[in-house]
Amino acid sequence: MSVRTTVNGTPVTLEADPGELLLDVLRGELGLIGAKRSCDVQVCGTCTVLIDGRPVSACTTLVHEARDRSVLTIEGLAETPEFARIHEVFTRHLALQCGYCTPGMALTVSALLASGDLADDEATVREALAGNVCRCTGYRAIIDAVRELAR
Amino acid sequence: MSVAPSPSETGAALGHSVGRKDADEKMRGAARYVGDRTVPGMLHGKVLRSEVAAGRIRGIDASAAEAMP
Repeated sequence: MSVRTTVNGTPVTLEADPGELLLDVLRGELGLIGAKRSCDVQVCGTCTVLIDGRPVSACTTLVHEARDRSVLTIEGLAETPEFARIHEVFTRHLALQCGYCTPGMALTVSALLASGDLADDEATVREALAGNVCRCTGYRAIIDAVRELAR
Repeated sequence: MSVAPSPSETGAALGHSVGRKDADEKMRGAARYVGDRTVPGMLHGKVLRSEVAAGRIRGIDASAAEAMP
């Protein structure tokens, strides 16, 4: 099965079995390892990518669901001007420890900033990041960083 | 063998906020974790679980697994 899609701004044709997952093709065929496999059931957020600007879990998204859409991974986000601010604020707040959840956090935050759904209050930020789990439990610094980004 | 003094010995790190050396590659998704590494000839393991909820093991036929490279 051939699936035409756009990944990080580049049109690509992916060869995939009908049941194949987006995460496997991104990491395997395209070598984009920034999307991480962890829970495999769409609760932890380490495999987050944006499809047409919306955060989705690549571990439970079929390749064909990306057909004729635009997929953005952390490797693509890292090339955008808006990433520079996320990078600077996260780094200054030390809002990462092992870093496994960080690409997913950054992608979710970028989508929230673009949608204007983020506000500088703790409850809003906690709710907004509910789909991204940090197993280092370094939430204090992450929430502080995202609140600063929301200002 | 000469060992360069650490920042704490020279005092260079004292009184300063020291940036995380590993932050940049982690932010960009470029950091390589165990699951991101491949080596030539790497084999993949998989746990084969019982298809029987409760049973008595009479024997294990591992010949198919043993025949693998």
